[in-house]
Amino acid sequence: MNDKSTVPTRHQDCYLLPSGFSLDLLAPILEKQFHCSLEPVGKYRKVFYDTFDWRLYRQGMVLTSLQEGTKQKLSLENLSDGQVKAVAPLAGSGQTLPGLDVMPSALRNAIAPVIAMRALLPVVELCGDLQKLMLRNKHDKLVMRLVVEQDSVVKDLDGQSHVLPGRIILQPVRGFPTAPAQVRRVLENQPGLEPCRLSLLDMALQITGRHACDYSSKMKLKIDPESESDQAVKKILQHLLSAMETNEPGMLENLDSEFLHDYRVAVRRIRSILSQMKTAIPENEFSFFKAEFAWLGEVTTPARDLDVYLLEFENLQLHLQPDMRDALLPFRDFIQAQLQQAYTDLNKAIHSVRYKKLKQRLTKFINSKIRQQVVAPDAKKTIHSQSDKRIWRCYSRVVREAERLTPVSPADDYHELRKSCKKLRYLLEFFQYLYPEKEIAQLIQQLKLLQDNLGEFQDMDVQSIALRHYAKMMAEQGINNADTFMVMGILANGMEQKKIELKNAFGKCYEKFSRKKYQQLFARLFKPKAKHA
Amino acid sequence: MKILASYNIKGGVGKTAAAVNMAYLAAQQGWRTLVWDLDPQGAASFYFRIKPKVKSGVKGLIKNNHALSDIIKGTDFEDLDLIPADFSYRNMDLMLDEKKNPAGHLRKLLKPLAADYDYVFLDCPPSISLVSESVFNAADVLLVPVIPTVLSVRTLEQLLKFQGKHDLGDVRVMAFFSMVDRRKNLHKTIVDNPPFNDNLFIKTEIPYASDIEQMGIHRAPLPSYTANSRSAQAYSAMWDEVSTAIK
Repeated sequence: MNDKSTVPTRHQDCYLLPSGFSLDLLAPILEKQFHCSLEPVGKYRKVFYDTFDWRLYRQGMVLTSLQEGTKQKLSLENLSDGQVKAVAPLAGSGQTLPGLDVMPSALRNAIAPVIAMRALLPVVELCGDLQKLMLRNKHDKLVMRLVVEQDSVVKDLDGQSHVLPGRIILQPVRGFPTAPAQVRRVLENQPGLEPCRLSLLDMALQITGRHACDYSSKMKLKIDPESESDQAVKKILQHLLSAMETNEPGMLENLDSEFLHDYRVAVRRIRSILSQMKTAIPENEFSFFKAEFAWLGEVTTPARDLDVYLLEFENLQLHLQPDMRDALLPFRDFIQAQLQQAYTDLNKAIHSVRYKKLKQRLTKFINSKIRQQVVAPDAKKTIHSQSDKRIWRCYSRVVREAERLTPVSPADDYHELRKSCKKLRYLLEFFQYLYPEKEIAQLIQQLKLLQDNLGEFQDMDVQSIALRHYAKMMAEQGINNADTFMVMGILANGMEQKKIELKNAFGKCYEKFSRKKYQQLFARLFKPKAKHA
Repeated sequence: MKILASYNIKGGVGKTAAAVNMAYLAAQQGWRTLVWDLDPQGAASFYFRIKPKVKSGVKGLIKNNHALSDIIKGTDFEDLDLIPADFSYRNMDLMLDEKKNPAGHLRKLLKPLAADYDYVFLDCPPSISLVSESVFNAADVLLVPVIPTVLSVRTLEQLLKFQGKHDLGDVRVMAFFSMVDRRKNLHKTIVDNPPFNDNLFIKTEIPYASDIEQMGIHRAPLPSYTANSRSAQAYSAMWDEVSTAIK
């Protein structure tokens, strides 16, 4: 994803107003050049929307619901220059965002590919007074609007209110290019007026103590290479616990499937760092966390598996002949019903005493000083030495397992390699800042290609088994639609076929990963003897 | 971007009023709307207080392929822009005739604006010519105002015949009764028993009313200064009906 969060954000002709500013005072000055008419003061309300992980913003877009009087519309704009990309009027003064499926096609087509499975959620809300000064030329033709937004309040996600400075916005009228420069000259001579350096969204966020792109599921954590392993592991755990907690509310409300996904990634990463660095963790803590995080992985699995089916449903349909696609609909209804139950079970687990204790103990461990605990053998060694060792071991294991694989190897062997690759990937991501950025990125990219093949193989394997399992459950529940079972069978067989194709393609994927230059790079960066040679 | 052309072979039937008022209503809803005043008389430009003058005239547009985006003017209303008329548009036929694909040329000119506007209203000159043919090819909808009189209905028949004879793409004809005076027996009879098939005429009718004529005095769309008048309400109902039908 192309990150546009660093684009210049002055996207409008806009000035911050000093307190006490009034258009009444400005109008007589502009009267020398224009016929001015002041409109009555009205109210405005703006709500900015984005996905939890800022997908629109990262693509240089901003989605706003704007209400002025009784008029309300959604507007998708470029963050850099404020240019409108698509709009949709909203009927009435509804507070909720319409679903993508009912949005006009221009807006939907601009948004849907960017946000994919993520939901649009309110980011920040503003409301206040709005007044317009209309500037006309000698032919009584409108050539410019000046819009003043004052007494504005920003509401953050917790409902807290913050005061936003007043702004005056120049709205040129197309085809009348001289007016903006004339008005700018007047405004720049007004005492206390300051050009806006931030977009309205960035300004509102700043006032609430936030900034755009303050959430990413990517592991970006800087660690001092000379820090003790104990401290480094705790820092990573703190980061991952925070990722879990950030995603927890959205996951429990099932706002979209990515909350659960990102939550589970954080859990898996915790399990991974614990097992990879277990010699730096006291044994009793390690045993406890290992068992409890395995439990957490288990209780979140059913909901995720079902989420995947719903996300993939249209793709599954596309694997069927057009006249057979509707036969799969009862399966979707069944999945939806199961999903509801799965999320209910998930809620119970997350609200359980067991979960509460797990988080409390993890927090206590993270905050504990090394002298307060039984010292693990590698706890005081530098993290750099440990990361070298762990990554090299893990890489060697991946190579060993991959070299053994053939197109006739059992699925379990592919799964084992997939798990090893995932562990290696996590290690590379945990410790990426200890190594040269470009080289690590290169290795991660190659590993990712291998993981894509193995991941798809795993999905096909699990899903073909699950399809048969679900068909059995549906039959037990009295859903006896022969056509549905038939198409589910077709899909399961198709998945078996795909598994064979993926096994055959594995060789080429591995060939790329195991090129000499990458082998040498792994050795140069991580192999302890090579480094000391 | 949907393109709606307000068109009739006959003049003085309410084409410009329909284009201007419906464009205004679309913009008021928040849609990015453009009116192209194709009529050299420049009535729509007059209503929007914009000088009916285009740099380099029709020659620049058709012969020299100047971009429409360079000649767009904002009206006094938010989200509503205009491509002004120009007296040289009277020669548009001749210019189009020199093009390789005259019938497809207006569509080609409008295409680059697709990302900027949700609705484009073409206010067409009264005639049936190469310009009309190019309009038919560009438009998604032909809005045809018909006064409930024999001669006006006859022009609609001529248009339908023309459409039958020529390949005019997927343009949808939506006729509506305009300048209806129900005190007149003939008007009442024709409106109550619309000619042609059932779906050709939309339900809303535009009354004969002096407030529509006064648009020329106010130089503004009717609903902008008398939103609750019967005529303004009629345009509003018509826009609801048309926009729902073409959604």
